[in-house]
Amino acid sequence: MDNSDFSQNNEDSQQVAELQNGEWNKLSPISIVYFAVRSIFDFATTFFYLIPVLAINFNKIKEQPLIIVVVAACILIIFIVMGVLNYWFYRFRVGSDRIEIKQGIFKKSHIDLPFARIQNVKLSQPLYYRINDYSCIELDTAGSAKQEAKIVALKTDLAKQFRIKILETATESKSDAFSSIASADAGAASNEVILNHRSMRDLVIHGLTNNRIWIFLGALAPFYGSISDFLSQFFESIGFDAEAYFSIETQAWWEFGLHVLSVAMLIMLVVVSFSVVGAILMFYKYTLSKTKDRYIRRSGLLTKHEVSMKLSRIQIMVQAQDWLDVLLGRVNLSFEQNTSGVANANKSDGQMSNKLLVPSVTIPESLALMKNAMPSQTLAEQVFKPISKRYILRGLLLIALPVGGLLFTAIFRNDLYVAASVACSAFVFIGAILVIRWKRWGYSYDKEYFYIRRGLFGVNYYCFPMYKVQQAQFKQSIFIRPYQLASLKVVLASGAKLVPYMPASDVKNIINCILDQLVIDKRSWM
Amino acid sequence: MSIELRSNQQVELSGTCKVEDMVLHSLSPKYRSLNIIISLVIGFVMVAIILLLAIQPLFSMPQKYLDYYYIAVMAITFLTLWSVLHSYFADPKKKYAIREFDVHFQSGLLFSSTVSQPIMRIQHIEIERGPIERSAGLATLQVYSAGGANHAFEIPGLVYEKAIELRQFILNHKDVSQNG
Repeated sequence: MDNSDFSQNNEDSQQVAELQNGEWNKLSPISIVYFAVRSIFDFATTFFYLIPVLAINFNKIKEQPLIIVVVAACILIIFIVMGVLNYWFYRFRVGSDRIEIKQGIFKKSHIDLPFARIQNVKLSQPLYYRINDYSCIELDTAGSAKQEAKIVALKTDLAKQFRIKILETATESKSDAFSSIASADAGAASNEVILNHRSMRDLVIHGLTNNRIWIFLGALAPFYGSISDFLSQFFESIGFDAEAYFSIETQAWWEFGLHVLSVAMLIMLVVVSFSVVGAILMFYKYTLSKTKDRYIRRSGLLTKHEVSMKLSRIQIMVQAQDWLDVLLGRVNLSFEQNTSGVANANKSDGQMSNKLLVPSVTIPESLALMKNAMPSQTLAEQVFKPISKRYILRGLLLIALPVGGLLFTAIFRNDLYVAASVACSAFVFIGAILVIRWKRWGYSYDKEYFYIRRGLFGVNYYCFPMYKVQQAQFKQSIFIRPYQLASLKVVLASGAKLVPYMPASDVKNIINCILDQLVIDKRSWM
Repeated sequence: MSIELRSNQQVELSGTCKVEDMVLHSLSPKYRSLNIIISLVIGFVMVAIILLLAIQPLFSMPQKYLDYYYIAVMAITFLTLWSVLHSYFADPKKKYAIREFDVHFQSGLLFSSTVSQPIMRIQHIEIERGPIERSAGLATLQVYSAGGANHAFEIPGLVYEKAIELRQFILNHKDVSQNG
């Protein structure tokens, strides 16, 4: 899926037109592979809990290798048959303004989806499709998760043309007033501009700063037992005695400490290198490009993902920086759209379609991208106002005091002085964290946008246009009312944001500002 | 989006109504009594079941139950009283307001909050009536935005006719019919 070949091809558009003849089409036979692989995945997720049972009986099973072969062959044949049947029963029909999909072996389904309701078109290319250059098209709708439709195998060029066709139809039918402009720009819609791409170096940095090891931990989960067996055998074979290495009795405390430290460093090294590999797997050849009205993200080493998001659907921009990012001067920029009704809300953020992540960009790059997405926003020039220092006091009373008290009561029977010092240091430690947290909190607003800064060791910036607000809340407890403080909660389609302990007058001003703006500004949040 | 709608600006500028100056309407007075009655009934039923189990002669309960059941009775009595007192003081604090372009609901005794819901962002409306609410002629108005079900805007304890009227006002609102 290179961008270089992304040109309007007459042959392809003719093919798209051929698709739209109103006949029921069948997929290419390569989709059998897709269906078979999918049923393997479905099977694996359904019977995941059986793995321990198999592992326990592993020794018994090992004695009868023939049974394993037969069972494995049977299962494989079942999957292939499932794949063939799924392929056989899959039909799709493309009309001028809608697509229909019939599928299912036992449970038949018939999806009828008008182009106008399609929110997002995703192209993905699993490894086994790359040989013949096929792609899957996933059509996300604004509505429920069940309505999600997928055309499983189309030639990649055709899929791209088809996507342009769908998106053009969707935008045309939405804005009738601008239909003439839309059709005039129809040619331009395919003219993508690449806004950003990530080099290998960026991905290594991303892997270092963002722990992506869970991708591996998840994939390796079934093999934990055998890995630990292997490790212990390995240590034995090289004559390494782990028990002696970590024994306190036989060595000096500094020696013991050094051993622990070196093992910790080794584990860190493994974790970090896995994390880097995870980042590369997910974001290999990352490009963020822009067409007339949407952003398209392409990345992936094994399975190539292509996610596109309409610019107007972006609810909030988040510039996230962990402490290591702060040191290296990198940020993770993400554009978030609505979460309600998104089918894959619990997927990892690499695949999530409600979030468009630009991994580990430099701050100037991030600011430029934000400027591109929302030109009138001025995050860079904002001077953030602090929240009230009573925020620290609340934390001291609600967290630090109970923790200190508990520690004190737990230890003081043994040693009063130790108890006092432990409780005091816990109190001071939590207090210090609260002060840092308070220092990070900040808010700012102009006529159109609201900006939030928050964080602890890292720092996150949020920026959203006020007209996208779904609901605003003024929150005040009787403990902060005498000090004219209040908290502001703003609900967006992508989630809620809370700013605590602001001056009450500011909260009122902001809410009035948001509501007044919605009286005048009738733009949709979508 | 169009130019005609932008003239709304003047309407809002001439109207000086700020969120903090709004006139708030109280809920139906029946709402508080209903809540108190419900708390009392639930508490009474639970205490009655525990007591009956303890003193009934049909089958013998474990000794541990007989030793400690009075703690459960005390806890339930305390919680019931607490919720009665809370309803008594907190329910009158629940108020709502309707402006030309938004609806508001204020609540909370110790932790007060005012939720403001612009009518333009409303996705759908429900009127909910349980059997007890129905018998008292009350209804709860629920308003959903794209913020999700966790942030549903809710006005409880409305007289049914009032709730219908409110729903109709929102449904007829041009923000919902044209821009929603």
